[in-house]
Amino acid sequence: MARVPRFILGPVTILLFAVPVLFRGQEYLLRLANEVFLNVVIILGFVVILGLTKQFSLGQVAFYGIGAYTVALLTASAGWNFFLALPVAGLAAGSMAVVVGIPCVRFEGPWFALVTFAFAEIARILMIRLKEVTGGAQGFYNIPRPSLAGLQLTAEFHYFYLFLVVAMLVFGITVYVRRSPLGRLWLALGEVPHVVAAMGTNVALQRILAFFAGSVFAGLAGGLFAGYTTFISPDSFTINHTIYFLTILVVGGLESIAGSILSVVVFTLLSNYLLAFYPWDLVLQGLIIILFMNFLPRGLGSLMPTLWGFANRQPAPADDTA
Amino acid sequence: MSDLALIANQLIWGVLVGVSYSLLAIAFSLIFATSGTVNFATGEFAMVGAYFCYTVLSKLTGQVLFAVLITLLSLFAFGMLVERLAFRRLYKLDPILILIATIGISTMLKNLVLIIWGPFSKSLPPLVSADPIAFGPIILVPQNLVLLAVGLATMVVFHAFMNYTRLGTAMRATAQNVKGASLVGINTARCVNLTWAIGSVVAGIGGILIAFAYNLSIDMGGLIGIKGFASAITGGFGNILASTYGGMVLGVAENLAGGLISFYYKDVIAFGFIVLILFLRPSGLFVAPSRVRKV
Repeated sequence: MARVPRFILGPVTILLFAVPVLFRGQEYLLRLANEVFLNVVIILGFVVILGLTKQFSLGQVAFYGIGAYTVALLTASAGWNFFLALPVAGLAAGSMAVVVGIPCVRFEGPWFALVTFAFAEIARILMIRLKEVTGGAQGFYNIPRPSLAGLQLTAEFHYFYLFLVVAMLVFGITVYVRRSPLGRLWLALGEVPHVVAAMGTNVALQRILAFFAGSVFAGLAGGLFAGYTTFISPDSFTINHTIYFLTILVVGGLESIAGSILSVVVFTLLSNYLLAFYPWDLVLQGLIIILFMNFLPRGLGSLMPTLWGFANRQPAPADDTA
Repeated sequence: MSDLALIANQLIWGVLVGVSYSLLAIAFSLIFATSGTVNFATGEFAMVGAYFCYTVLSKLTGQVLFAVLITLLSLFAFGMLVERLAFRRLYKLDPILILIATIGISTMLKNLVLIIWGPFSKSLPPLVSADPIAFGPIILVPQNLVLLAVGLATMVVFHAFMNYTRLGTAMRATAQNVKGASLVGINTARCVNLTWAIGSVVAGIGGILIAFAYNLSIDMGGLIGIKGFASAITGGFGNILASTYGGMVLGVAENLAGGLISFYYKDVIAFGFIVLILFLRPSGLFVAPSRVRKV
């Protein structure tokens, strides 16, 4: 994909930071923005795992959940500060991914999907059954709101800045990795694993590494979610959520960072309209997946170079960087 | 009841459930063999079959045999239609994209069933009204015996079809090598289409058996789908006979674990069991491990 010129990054960042000022008092809009940031963090995890290394993890909601419960337990039960608990949540999800990954990364596509799905189901059942720790099916209430240096995050725009910073951080890391030799290696690993193996790369190690990175993102998103809603329950970590994220990813294009983010924005803006049609929304999601696979398998991301090239009146380069 | 009798009863029940898993495992393996994708919608195919059968039974006719026949014919057409509309264009893509598409189908079907039939579980009328027969502490339910017989008969018919008919042979050839099969004049596109149709019929029979044994619910599709997939893995994926054994092993193992250890953690144990098998013997229990290591 054609590179977006660097000079627009500054203005876009400033614009993003100015959003709460520009849209002062528009709580609903800020809430949508927060949802976008949260979903961006999760989706970028999917891009790394499924998009680049083509490991079909159906277990990302479990890591999302592990992040959320880690923050809930550490802040509510152990009295930690949220900002200390958040990175721990990311690492907890990441280490769990390594534990799951070590035996599982050698399985290809559908097998990996099954094992990770099984893991997600086991995690969800444990969330329900381990009542003393997790609060069971009723969920975990009264998670303290994050506070930093005496300032407690209460208003929507407080969270906006927190989420924006984390989302930009994760975005930056993903773009950086994607453009680095490591990112190219991971992409090659997804396309032609045997070639990469023949070149002497430790395929299993790289897969675990990507799985770890994507799961840390999921754990961070879960931690943010817990601190944001102050209430979590196993209902937030079901297969339907996986399907929702999968739909977003498919529409965006598996390996396209920009396409996925665009797709997150579109879906988050539409999600409240979609929810009104429950359970037709899920039927629609299934239909969207199938239509995109049939007619635009590389998602919106594959249209972007064309659009970008068209806007620039230049032929799009053959290279598909970031 | 003594422990031994409990184990015996769990064993019998396990075999019955295992037969249904086996049928789903066959559907998984069959579609995988010809189109190279694990059809994650197999469980939903089974569920659609079971619900459709329920409606035909309650609205159209009381004749069980007739209702099942109508259901299976519809499933046959349904499988063909799904393959033609949703998958024909995909085979040239990365297998992972096809996999995602099957998840799309599964989501659609699951929620369409929810919309059409509602969230409450339904039960089919009893097939046989005879009382349970007790052999000492071991209790045999006639209905379950009939279901077991139907399941086993389906497998026999299926194996006979695949091995002793022209069409079955053509389908096996397509599964082995699409190019080679088309070179000797087999219409491979039609064969792939037919495997989807037959796969959904076999899965549907599995679903109907489960529906008669337990009841119908929205969650059954996902659950038996996963169990069927796991059975295929347990036995040996892509190998139809091995998948059949895998279903039995999983059904028995799961019910023994449920009866002896903990009912609530039954599914956890089943999943743990699959992961263990994948870990120790990824090629499956009933297939010789291949000497070629992938990646």
